Amino acid sequence: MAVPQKAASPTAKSTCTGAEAVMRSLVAEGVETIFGYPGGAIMPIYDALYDFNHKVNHILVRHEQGATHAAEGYARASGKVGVVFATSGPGATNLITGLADALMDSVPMVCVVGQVSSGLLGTDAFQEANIMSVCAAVTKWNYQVTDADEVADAMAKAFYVARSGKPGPVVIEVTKDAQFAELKKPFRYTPVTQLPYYRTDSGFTRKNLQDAATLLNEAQRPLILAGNGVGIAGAETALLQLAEKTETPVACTLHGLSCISTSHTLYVGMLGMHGNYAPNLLTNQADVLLAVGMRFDDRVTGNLNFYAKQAKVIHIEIDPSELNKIVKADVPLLGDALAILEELTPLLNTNSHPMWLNEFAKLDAQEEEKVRRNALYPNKEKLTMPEVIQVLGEQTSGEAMVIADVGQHQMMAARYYPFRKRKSYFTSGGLGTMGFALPAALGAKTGAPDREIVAVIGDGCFQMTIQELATIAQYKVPVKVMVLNNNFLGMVRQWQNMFFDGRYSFVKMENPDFTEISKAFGIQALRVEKREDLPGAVQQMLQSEGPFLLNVLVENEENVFPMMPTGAAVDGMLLE
Amino acid sequence: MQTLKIYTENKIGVLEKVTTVFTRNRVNIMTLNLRANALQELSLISVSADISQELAQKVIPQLKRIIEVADAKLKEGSKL
Ligand SMILES: Cc1ncc(C[n+]2csc(CCOP(=O)(O)OP(=O)(O)O)c2C)c(N)n1
Ligand SMILES: [Mg+2]
Repeated sequence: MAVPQKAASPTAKSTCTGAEAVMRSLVAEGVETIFGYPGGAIMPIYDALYDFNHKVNHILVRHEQGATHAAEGYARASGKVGVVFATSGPGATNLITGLADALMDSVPMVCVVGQVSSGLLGTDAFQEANIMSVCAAVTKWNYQVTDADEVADAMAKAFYVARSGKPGPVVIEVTKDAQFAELKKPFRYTPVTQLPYYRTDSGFTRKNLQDAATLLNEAQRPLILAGNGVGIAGAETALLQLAEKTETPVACTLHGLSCISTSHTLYVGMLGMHGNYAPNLLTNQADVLLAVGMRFDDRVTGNLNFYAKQAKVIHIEIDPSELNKIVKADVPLLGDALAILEELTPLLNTNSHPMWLNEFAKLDAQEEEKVRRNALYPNKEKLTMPEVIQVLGEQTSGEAMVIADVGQHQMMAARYYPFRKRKSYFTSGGLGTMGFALPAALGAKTGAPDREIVAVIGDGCFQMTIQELATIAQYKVPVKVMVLNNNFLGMVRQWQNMFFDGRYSFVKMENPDFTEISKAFGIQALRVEKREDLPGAVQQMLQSEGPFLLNVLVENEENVFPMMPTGAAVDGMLLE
Repeated sequence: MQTLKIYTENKIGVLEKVTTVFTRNRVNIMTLNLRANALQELSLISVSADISQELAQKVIPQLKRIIEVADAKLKEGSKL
């Protein structure tokens, strides 16, 4: 298509349309990257984008869901707000999964979506969907703009809401007439730093802090539960200082992983259903739990009736609705984890807990013997997921950013990757969205180009958002994609195996040849099946310059252990 | 029966955001009244429902989490 050259720069013009106001707002916010997909109702904004192409990098994904996950990956890897463009109707409804995902996992995201002209609202116009209603349940905030003069304020509020307090996704819908209309007043962008009714203030007091300090100073068996909030608040160092000063063991939730090096002597493992044996069991032996930026998800607590009844709980949390929602906090500390930890640590005594730490070591030795040894050095012919992750860990010196999808491979990556760097494990934790990893990895690499990004993806998940290979190829995003291919919806198969008498109901997949598919997308690929070929294959993947896909054929019916079956308590974990 | 008083910005779609919280917590609403103030900037939404103390403690913070909600509380005299 021949495109006419536009002469004047848009900012030099005295007039400004609603569409241009969207772009100028994004520039004012310092937005560098947009993940999007055009369509009828957002065409004026895409036309304005055409003029801003030198300032803002737009990545054309292949499905709007991909845009949301890419924005999530971008946001989590860069610490900035992820930005998405989509058209009305189907474009907007394709965002829903990603919005729900970002809401659950506290990811800051602003989605600008088109809408039919305001005069057509409510008429079942072409590509009209009631996005106001649909998004109310899956966003932190959503708003419909029908007046071009409202664009700047709505955008400023959107960015503030998305990134402040507990971060989350925001949708701004702009009707087509508002995109076309000229502003009546000059464009002015005033960043929002507070809102009349939305509070992000801390709610902790000196007394709360002192109570927490007293509990921790008197504790014989304290345990830190580190969650997503540690990384979001940038509180890794502050947490480490507290842990080291008081010699308190640190256990991580799935999202807390990598906030402390797995090689640190105080790191005792991952919490939750497929976490490590010691921290789960000893949650029910601890006398004080210091929960930091975690929300006692049911995958972490197991059966609540038997969860940490003996322990006093200190809960550091930024979202008031999370305090006392699941577990009653003896000392609630409302606010930013970094600010609170920095005030708390000076009140704590230097301490040591050698006996308590030894209990973790003893239980960990049991897990090592019963689970890890067999998983890592199997007597099976086929490769196992743990040994693949181990090789990846060795060859990346534990310094890669691992983006995991959802299923057995997600748990294996979490369990066996030796995290040495912060902000190195991202996955869809709360919603458990299959298909998250491929677009999220593309976004993460865009947001953190200096990091080595490896996506660990199951064969089922891969086929949910496989089309984003085209995006990766087009923009030559050098992500490494490792498909752990077991020809099963493995996690579901494991449950059928263990809890449904082995009745495998629709979990077996005959897959296409992912290696050939990847090559057809223009991405180098290699298939690996033999143990002796694995290190070389992983090395080839890591040393390749562009994107690379490694199709790893693994054991078909491997189960993830330890496991806390549904309904079991944290100390009812099974080792086999 | 308890009555919750919810103070919100008077904007399109806010009532729906409020009722969504009741829906997802499976609270059946018995009466619902919305009244804007004289300047039409704020609304007072009164909702009465058969709701346990425990559930009210969960619902109220979730209501307050809505960006447009200024405050949410149990009406005084509403017995729990
Ligand atoms: C969108 C979506 N649909 C269904 C599920 C349920 N589910 C969870 S894990 C899983 C299997 C994933 O299979 P695969 O990607 O091959 O990973 P594996 O467990 O085999 O490693 C399924 C179907 C889900 N989490 N998300
Ligand atoms: Mg699989």
